[in-house]
Amino acid sequence: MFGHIKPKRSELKIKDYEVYRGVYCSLCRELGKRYGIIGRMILNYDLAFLAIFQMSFSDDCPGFVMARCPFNPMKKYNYCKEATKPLIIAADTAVIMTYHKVKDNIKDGNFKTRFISIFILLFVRRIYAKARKKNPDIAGIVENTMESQQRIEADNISSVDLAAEPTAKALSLLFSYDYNNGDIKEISAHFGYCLGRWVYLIDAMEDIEEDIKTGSFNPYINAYCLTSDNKEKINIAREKAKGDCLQTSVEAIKAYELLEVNRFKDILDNIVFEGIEDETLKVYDGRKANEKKSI
Amino acid sequence: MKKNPYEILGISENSTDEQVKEAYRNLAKKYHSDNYSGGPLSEIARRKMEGIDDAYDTIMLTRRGTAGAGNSGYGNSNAHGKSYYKAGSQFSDIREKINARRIEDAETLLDGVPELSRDAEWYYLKGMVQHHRGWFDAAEKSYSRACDMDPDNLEYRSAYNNINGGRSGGYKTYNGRTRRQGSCNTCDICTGLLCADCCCECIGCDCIPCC
Repeated sequence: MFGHIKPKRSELKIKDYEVYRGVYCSLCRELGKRYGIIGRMILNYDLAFLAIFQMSFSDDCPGFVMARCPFNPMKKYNYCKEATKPLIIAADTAVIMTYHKVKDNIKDGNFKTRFISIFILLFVRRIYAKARKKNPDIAGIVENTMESQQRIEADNISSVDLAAEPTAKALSLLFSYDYNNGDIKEISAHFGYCLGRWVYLIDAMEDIEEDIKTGSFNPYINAYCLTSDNKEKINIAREKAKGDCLQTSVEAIKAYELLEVNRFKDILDNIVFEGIEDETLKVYDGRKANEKKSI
Repeated sequence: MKKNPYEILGISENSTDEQVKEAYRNLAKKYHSDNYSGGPLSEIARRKMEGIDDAYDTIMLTRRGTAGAGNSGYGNSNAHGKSYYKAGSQFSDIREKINARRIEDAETLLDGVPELSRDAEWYYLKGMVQHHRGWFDAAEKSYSRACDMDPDNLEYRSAYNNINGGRSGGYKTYNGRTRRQGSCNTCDICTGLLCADCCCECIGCDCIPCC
C-alpha cells in the first residue's frame, strides 16, 4: 500500500534529489523526536511526498543544515533546521496509517504477513495512542476510511470507483488539510483524491493474482470473474487496471497544473509527471525481484 | 495581490513578441477548457485561462496599442466551453446545480428522471456528476453513452475525449515534451549518430570525419 509515490530518480537532478532526501530525512528525524526509534522505522515515501507538497506552499524556505545520520554515522545528510507543520502532520499520519494497515494485515493477510504484523502491532500500538492524542482529526479521517473500506469489501462490489473511494477520500482530506485559500484547498482536495484513487488501483492491479489465490477482495476479480486458470482474462483485467491507473494519474496531473507552488517545483514536477506513470508501468510489468513491497 | 502580466505568462519583460505569443500558446494548450470539460476543476481552470487572456491582452495593448487575444488562434477560450452548449435544454436546472457544485442535489434530480426520458444529455450530465465525484470509470461510460446517442454533439465528445485521453498515458508536459515510452526527438537522433561514429572510429572507420 505504501511506497508508490516517489520520484523517477533517473530524471531527477542531483541538487533536487539532495533536497528530496533532505525532506525524507527530516521526516525520519521528526518521527524519531515524536515517537522514538519505532517511529523512525515506519518512514515511507508517500508521506515524504505529502510533506514536500504542503511545504511547497509556504512563503519561507525551511532552511537545511547538514548532520550525521544516527543509522549511518559515516554519512552526513541534509535536515530541515526546524520542524515545519507539514513534517509534524506527515509524522502523525505515518504512525496512524501504519497502525491501521498493520491491523488490516492481521485480519486479511496470509500466515506469514499476519505473524509479522502481530509482532509489529505490539510496538506500534503504543505510539498510535500518542499520535491519536496529538492529532485526533487525522486519526478520525483514517478510522473512517478503514471502516468504509471494510463495508465495501463486505459487500463484495465490482465497481473500481466505489472500491477506491475510501482511500481516495482519505488522501483528499489529508492533502487539503489546513489551507485557508479556497482555490488551493479545492484543487489540493481533488489532487489528493486522484492520488488516493491511484494508490488503491495500483495496489489492486499488483495484487490481482495473489488475491485470487487467497480469496481476498479485489474489485477487478469481481468485475471480470477471474479465476487462476484463466490467464487471458487476468491479462485483460490487468490491462484495464493499467488504463485506470494512467487515466487517474492524468487527472491528478491536470489538477496539479492548476497549482502555483512557491518551492520544490522541480521535485514535485518529477514525481507527478514522471514518477507516478513510471511506477504504474513498473508495477504493470511486474515488480523486480529485489524490490520488496513495503507494508 | 495583482500579478504582473509577464509573471502570469512566465516570461521576462524583455521577451520578444514571438516569445510572448509562444508562452501564451503553451499556457492555452494546458488550460484550455477542453482539458477540464465536465470535471470539478473546470471553473478554476476557466478563471485561470481568463487571467492568462487578460495578461496577454495587456502586454499586446501596451506594446502595440491593440489587444491580441483575438489573433492568437485560441480566441476567447473561456467562451469556448460555453459555445458547445445549446440553449433550451430540458435539464437546465440540473446544469445549474452542477455549476453551483451542488452535486448531490443534481444527482437526486437526475435519478428522478424516468428511464424513458433519459436521452444523451441525461447521460452527459450523469457523467459530469460522476466526474465531479472522481468516479472516472463510471463517468467515462456515461460520456460514451451520451456520444453514442448524439454523435455530433461536441460538448459530449469533448468531455469523453478529456477523460478517456489519459488511458494511454504519455501526457504532454508544459513545454510540449511527451514522455511516451520509445519516443525519439532530434536530440536522440544526433546523439545516436555521434555514438555510432565513435563506435566506428574504434574499429577503424570514420563515418563523420569532423567528429
